[in-house]
Amino acid sequence: MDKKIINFEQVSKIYSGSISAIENISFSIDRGELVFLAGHSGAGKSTILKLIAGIETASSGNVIVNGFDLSTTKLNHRTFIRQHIGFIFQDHKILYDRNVFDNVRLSLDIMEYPEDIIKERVLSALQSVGLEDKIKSTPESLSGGEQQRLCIARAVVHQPKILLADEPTANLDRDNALKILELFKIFHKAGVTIIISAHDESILNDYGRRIISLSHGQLKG
Amino acid sequence: MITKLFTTHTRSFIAASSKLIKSPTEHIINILTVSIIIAILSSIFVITKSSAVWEKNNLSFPQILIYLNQDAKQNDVSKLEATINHFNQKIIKNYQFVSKEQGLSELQNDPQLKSITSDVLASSTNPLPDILVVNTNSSSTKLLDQLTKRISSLPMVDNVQIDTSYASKIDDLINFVKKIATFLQIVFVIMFVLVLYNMIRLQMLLCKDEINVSRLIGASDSFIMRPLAYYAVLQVTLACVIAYVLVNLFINFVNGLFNQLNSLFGNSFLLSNLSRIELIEMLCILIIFTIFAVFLAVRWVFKNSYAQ
Repeated sequence: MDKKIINFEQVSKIYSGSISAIENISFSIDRGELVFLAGHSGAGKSTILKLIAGIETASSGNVIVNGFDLSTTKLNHRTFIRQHIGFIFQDHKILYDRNVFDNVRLSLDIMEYPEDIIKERVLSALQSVGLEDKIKSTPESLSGGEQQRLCIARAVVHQPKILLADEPTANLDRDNALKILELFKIFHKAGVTIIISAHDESILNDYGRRIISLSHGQLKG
Repeated sequence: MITKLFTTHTRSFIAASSKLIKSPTEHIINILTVSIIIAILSSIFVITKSSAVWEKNNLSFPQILIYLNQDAKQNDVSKLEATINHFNQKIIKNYQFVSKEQGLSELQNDPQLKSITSDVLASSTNPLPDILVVNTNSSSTKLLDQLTKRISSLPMVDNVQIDTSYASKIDDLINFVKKIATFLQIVFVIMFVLVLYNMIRLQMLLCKDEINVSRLIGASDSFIMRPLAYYAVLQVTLACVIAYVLVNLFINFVNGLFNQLNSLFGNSFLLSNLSRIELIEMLCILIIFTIFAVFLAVRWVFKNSYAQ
């Protein structure tokens, strides 16, 4: 098995209107590694995460995830690859018309798991983020930190190989931010490859992990 | 594999039914609109079907008179009968052989014709030919011409008579009515697909967040499409039941009017009811169009709005 789970080769992404998000970026991430993507707003962190998840496609270069070159992979296959990735979105993307349990089960519904496994895994995921007593709560009734934990539970419930977190601590106070980062450490110990983007590098420096720094769409240093 | 497939379909079905049950008033206008379109489609079908039955029972199709040669023997008549029997049974209703002796006897016994045919009756030899009277079951001039040509080519056939201009007029009229009915059915099927297409498109816009999030976390097109297909199929099924009631009410009303007209003009035109088998067949065809409409709507919305 290849040691590298993610490999960027001279990747550029230009959005419509000739807006360049990232330019000629190359890096690789090993299986089971925990990496931080750091940089100011608009540096290209979210674009990199979206390219890994196959939500966006590279304008040039190759994005290889778990052996699949996403630049040449068809949409249907990219959707399938996404089922093996957990994504924590910057804007949460919580569904407010359903309770906590139903929000978390969505990933397993998509992967067509049987009902008994869904119940077991959702409960386990909610326990891991400390939301086991909020199963029937509506998302509106949760605090900012709890909503973020709900997103983490939804992202890990299908036991992905890669976990991508886009600014998971952005709207949280320092205490809550540290609690969330502790959760990621637990998942990392379980062997999951984790990439976390953040603009506040002061929190990240305490963790002693690799930091990929970005500035204006290019790698720094 | 089969259990997994069953589970996914059951989940989609439950999701679609609960959507309908939770807010029936939101969907009633859609269902009524679709049921009216289906009722019109079914009415056209019922009218076409009843007209075909009436046409078969009441319209007199052309008769072919085959005059045999004077020298024709029983063997020639048998050959002719075999040819007719061999021909398409849909065109030939029945036939009757009238021998020259039978013809003469009929002439002798008809007091009105006696005076006109006195020369024939006075003759020592019977001058009448053997005749085969063929009653047809079709007004298609093409088929009737084929049959006439085939019979004319047989040995011992002296003359073949048929009034094709009358048949041609009936044929043209029936074809015109059939074309109008087919055109209207096509128009209403297109309307049906467009209404469902728009209904699904709006439903997708209402569930935009759910679909968007599902797509982002790896939902396939079929995962998104399945509950929408069940949602549309359920609505079409309900609309079909309403349309069935509407069509039967329409038939009862129209048949009441026809009964009065029939007693006045001595005719027997009545619309036949839509049978349950026909209803099921119609539902199956409409479900195929429904899934097609859902597929088009999902493809269009994905192409134009949602994230990859």
